Amino acid sequence: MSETDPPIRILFETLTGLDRPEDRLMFLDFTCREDPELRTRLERLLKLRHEAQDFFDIETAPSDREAKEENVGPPVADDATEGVGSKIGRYRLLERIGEGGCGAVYLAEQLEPVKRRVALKITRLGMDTENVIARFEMERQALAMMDHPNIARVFDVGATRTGRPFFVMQLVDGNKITDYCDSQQLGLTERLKMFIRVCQAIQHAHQKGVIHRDIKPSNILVWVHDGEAVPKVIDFGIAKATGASLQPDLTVTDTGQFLGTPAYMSPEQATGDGRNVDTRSDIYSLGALLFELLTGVPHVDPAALKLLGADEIRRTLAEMEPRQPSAVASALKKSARQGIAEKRSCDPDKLAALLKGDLDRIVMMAMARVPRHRYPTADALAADVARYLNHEPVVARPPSRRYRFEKLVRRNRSVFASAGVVLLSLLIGLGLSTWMYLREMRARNAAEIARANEATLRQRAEIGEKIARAAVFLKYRQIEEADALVSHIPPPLVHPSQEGAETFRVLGLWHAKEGRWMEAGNRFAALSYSIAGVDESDLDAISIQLLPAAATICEVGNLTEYQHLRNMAVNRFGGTANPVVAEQVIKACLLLPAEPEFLARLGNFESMLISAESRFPAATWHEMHLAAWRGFAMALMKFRQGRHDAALGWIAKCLEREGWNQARDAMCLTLRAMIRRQRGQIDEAAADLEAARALVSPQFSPEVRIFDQGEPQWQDWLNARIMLREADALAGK
Amino acid sequence: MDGDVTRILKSVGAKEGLPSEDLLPLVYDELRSLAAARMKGEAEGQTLQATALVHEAWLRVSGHGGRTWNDRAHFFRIAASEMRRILVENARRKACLKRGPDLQRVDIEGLQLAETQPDERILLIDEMLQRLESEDPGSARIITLKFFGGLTNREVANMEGVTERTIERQWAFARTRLYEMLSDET
Repeated sequence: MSETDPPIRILFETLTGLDRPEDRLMFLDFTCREDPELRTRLERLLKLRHEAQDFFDIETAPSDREAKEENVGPPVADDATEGVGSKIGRYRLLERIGEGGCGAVYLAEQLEPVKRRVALKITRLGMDTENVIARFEMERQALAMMDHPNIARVFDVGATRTGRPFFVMQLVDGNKITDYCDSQQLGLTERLKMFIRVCQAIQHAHQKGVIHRDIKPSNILVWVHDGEAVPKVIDFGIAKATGASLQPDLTVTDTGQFLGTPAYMSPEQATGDGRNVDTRSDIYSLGALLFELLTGVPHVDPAALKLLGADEIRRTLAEMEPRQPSAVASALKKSARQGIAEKRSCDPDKLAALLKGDLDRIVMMAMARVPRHRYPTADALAADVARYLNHEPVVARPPSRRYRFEKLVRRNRSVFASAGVVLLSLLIGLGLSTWMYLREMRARNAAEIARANEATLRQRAEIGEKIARAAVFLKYRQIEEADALVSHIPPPLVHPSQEGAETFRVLGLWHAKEGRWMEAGNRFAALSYSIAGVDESDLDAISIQLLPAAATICEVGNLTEYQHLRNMAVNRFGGTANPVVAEQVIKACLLLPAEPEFLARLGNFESMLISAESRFPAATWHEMHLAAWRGFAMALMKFRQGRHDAALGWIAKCLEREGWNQARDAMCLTLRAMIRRQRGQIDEAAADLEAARALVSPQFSPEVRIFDQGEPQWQDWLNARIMLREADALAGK
Repeated sequence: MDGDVTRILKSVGAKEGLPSEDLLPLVYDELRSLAAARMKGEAEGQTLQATALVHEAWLRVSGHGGRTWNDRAHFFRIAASEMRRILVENARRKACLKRGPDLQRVDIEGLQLAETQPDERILLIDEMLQRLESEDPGSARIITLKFFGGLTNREVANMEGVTERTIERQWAFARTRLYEMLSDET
């Protein structure tokens, strides 16, 4: 058959124009009745056309332009294009496995770079796709850091052809935790043990600065793996990305369906604008989950909420004092109680009694209306549940003597095995009970310390959250809002993160440009904490961040922060093999005089520069530029060491490139002026100083021009002025 | 909006058409969204940005000084083929970086087509397209406009003066035909 056979195109187009398979068959039968070869070819083309479509489909979303053109009518749910069998980006939908208020979940196959099965959740229409994806991207790094056996990972986010955001998650094949526990008739002890594992997963996420915001039974699946039941928390990062907590979505859809899950939402989530949401909001939701695991019913009846409007739901959730689990259990009708107790393998008449006391208290404390009355962390909640299981006194209950004695007896059953022993112990008197009392106190102290640690962790998670929010503000150029969020964070509490580094860099630069050096210094100080351990890479792109920090911190004279910056720089970059990093560290660290001990710690950086000097011939423009800065760093190093002859040698070398960077020229002249003054060459020193001043002054008056020249240069000018001040002080001006 | 360029082209004097310099402001936004559509979904770490693609395409399209355009279809046809060239060069350069300068071509034999990366696909499609151009120029043109140019069915339909449905069918055949050629190679 000829390759240029035009009928094949017409036949193919006609064939694909037929919708029904039987019509196609008839067409083929008729057209190819005398040409089996043509039939084979057409059938092959027909088969290949889907692969061909995928092959050409490098794009995952249509252009905005196309979307705009085609969205003329009212938005319609376009499920046909995203049904089973279709392909979204590099995922193929295999089976619809779930349906929730916020969208459909599919079993999908990832096609590249690795083939694997994943869960793909397509959110409902009407979400602000771009913001959803942007918010998710902000948190992607934190999410990637989460690695916990009880957390299902979220791999990817994207937009479908119809512009709906979708999330790709680790596939968890399991039932929601409440259903699983009921179907297995797990007793209270097993339920509590499983709940502890859920708390530990949440704690892990909080430590990485990630708040779940939507903990509920359907987001905790139990996966039976090798005969072991493993709870898995799913949907991390999704609530935040979709803004579920920013605007609690309590509206009713056209079909009367409720979106969101108000029953598990903390009061601050239900009423607030999302700004007050922190790790303790998750604690509340954990409490609501525990309530349901114990009693078999949600703490608020979703059916009752359904009858209310959004505002009424908000008010109900905010004002309602949660009922005690034991009270709910005893108020149940006998038949209901029977069923619930059966699923817990316990006596219906004893259920309420089992819940009364510690378990009531634990649930109530987790679900306290005021966040600070709740457990400070998920770990604290887990620890209290564990204490209950071990018959130790729980934190949730204010200790009374009777309560403590009860616990004492239960924990030391063997000791109190019989009344006789009790009598005996009473006779032995203070001895034994003092011993046990002291043991008790030690345990309490340990609990106190644990609580203090937990508070620190929580604070850190909150700060991480604030920085993440600030980063989102910055993305939308709302710089004042971003700054307001982080302005009260003391720099030493900033945890290392790339996101934080970038946020503080932008804010620092903004303040600097506005002439607010104090604020700029603070932000850059926070930046220096952010980069302390953010990654291990030996890149000058990271060490260059030290320079604006050093410059602004010295500009405002914050010696404490400067000392920290120096130590951090030496520790963080101590093992560098990159001469540019070495040069930047020296420049940042020796802006002000340093103690001999500190100078000694810079030895490694110095030898790095010296060896670079012999290894890299300054042949190209770029190499000469690097060599000049290297020379300046060496001059500064030698000057601070008091080795003035050597310093003068480097200064001369550096000034061979005079005019390439005027700020550097000014700094060289200033250094030389200080050396000459100390040698009594007063006139030469004064001349150098004036030459330097002639370069520096016009940059700052009548107006500040240092930001006109692009990003890195302004710090050089600031440094030049700082050194000029040192020289002036030396000259007694 | 669609007629803008053509109208101006007509108004400035019939036969000579419009010089490139005057056309740029008129088509820049459109060209940019075209490029953005084309770049969307490119692999992460894509070095060629939409703006860069526009600028480069523009420079090449208008490169031969004094060039004039008959209508916007003419312009976009040329722009699409320039985008093709840029994307192919870009993919080739990246392939070079990855595999070294000796391997300018993707080895088709034994290749799992479904598992190829976007850059490889661009190269494979380009290579097959060169062959298709002689045997079925119509299909080759559709692929250039749709795949490399990032034009919508509607835009191509307007350019060619046919219905969108026709373009959809032609596009379906063209890509299937090209894929068939590729499958025969592997």
